[in-house]
Amino acid sequence: MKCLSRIEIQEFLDKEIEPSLMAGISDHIERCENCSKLLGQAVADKALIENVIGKSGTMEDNIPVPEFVQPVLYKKRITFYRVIPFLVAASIIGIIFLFRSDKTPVMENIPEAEILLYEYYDGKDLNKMWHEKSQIIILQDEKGNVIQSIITN
Amino acid sequence: MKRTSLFILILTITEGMVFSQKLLDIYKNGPVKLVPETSYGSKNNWTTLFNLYYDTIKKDVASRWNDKKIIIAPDGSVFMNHMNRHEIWKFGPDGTFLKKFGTKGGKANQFPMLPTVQGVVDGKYVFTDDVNARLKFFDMDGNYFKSITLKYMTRKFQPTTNGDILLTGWVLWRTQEPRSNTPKYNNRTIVVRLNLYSGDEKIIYSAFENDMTSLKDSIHDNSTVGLIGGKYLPSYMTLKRPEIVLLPDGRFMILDRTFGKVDIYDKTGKRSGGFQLDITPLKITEQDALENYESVRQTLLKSIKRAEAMPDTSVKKVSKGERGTTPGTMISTYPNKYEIISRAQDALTKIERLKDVNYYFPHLPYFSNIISDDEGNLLVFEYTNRDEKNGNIFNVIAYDNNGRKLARTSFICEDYDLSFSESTFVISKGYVYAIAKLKNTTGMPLRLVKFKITN
Repeated sequence: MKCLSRIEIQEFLDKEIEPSLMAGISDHIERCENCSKLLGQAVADKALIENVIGKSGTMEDNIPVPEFVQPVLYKKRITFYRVIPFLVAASIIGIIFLFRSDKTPVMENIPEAEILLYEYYDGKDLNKMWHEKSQIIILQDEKGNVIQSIITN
Repeated sequence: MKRTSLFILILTITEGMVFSQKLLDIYKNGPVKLVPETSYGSKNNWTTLFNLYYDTIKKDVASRWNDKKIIIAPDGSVFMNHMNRHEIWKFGPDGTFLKKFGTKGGKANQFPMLPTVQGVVDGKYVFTDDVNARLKFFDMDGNYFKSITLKYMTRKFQPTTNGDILLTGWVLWRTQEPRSNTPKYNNRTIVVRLNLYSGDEKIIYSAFENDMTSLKDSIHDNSTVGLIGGKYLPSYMTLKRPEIVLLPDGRFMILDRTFGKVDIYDKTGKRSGGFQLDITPLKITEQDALENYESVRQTLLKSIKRAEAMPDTSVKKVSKGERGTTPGTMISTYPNKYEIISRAQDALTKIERLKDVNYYFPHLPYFSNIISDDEGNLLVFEYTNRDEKNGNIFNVIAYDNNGRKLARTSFICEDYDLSFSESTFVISKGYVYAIAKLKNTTGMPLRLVKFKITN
């Protein structure tokens, strides 16, 4: 991806860019020193502008605004039948939480050490390894992460 | 023309029978000597060809792959993968290096990951696979033909006929008992028939191995450290994992390392027979146990010493380009030198039981390796006593592909240091082709060697 112009950076910052392009541009900015710098400047500029606008906004706040008048008849009423779907959804979620078999998060550890063992022995002359007293020692932590694998001899 | 074709056909068949007959006779007639053909590969400068040899010897790290593997084409050419270079090398029938093909990359004719050469299909296409089971087919001159990517990891391949390839694949199969929060991983092994031309694949055999998370051979208690593999052989992998031998006629055998039982399966994956290996496995002795204890202890001490010399990486400054972080931030790394030292010291306190011979399985596996010759006969390599190592003798029992014992013999090789594994030791048309190290040399010892099999 090419480097972005100041205008494009500003558009990115204001989220005025095609949503499908956002991820790619974000990725580029993260890796490109130049564009990161431009983005930094744009962020600073935006903050400055917002600060100025904010100050002028306080002046506008002082102008009294008349209360909006709406006929009572048009207001939405919260009736019981509107609440039913929410109650049903809440009940289902409650039941799931109440009766699920396991309330603690499941560990997703792949047995990395065992895979290392497989790879170490796969395709080797095992009799030769027996004679050379060669084996693999794997240190793991309590979660099964491999801390170190060491080959003897 | 027809007469010539017929003559060639008869000659080929006769040649095959002669080789087969010769091999059987040689197996039966006592110790098998491997005599290197001196003219083979004599035009090569091995030092230049294998100039990365010293760089690719891996010490003290898990060598995940064998760097080199060879296969033999019907005309006697040899294809060898040179993994570290992402290349396939071709040697002519006389052993002369001819060409190399393949480079690292993402294009169809390139290798994104380290390739392993696996076989020749119909005498026309040589193929490779990689860790993600991308099969890449090339013609015999190294021109790209096609790719097939499989959805499982692969182990072994055996081309059969009409573009069919028999292969073994595996996946980690995650299961979880109801109301349990501990997942279990089983190694699911499959045998598949794949057709090169149509891409059709059919699973003809499927089985689960034992639960991998409950390894009995680990020093693994509920404390802060797990030490896996703290034993000499037999370990889980070498004792319990079945060996599958794929035969050129489309059948396959499954061999049990623990009890020496062999099951034969037909082309459809149905069990068609079986036999018991005529082997008495070597017993684990008290001395083996003590030596193993000392080896593990020394290895852990070495690990601690090395970690102490490592730079302190317990905190690290995040550099530009690391995702999700702000450059300059200090983060802690894991594992770091202190972690390694503490785990290794903890492990040292738990290895006393390795001195006890009763802690081990009573014997070694029934066999160390199995190599099938090009006739489908099995050469079953026994474990040998450590005292025999100086004799350079390798005990072998030959079976035909129906389980009939042909002979008990020994392989003797005086000049080269051989590895009896399928990757580096291939029997083809009465000869052995091997990647082997020349003994008694001061220079780079690695060679591609062709041995005559004789008594």
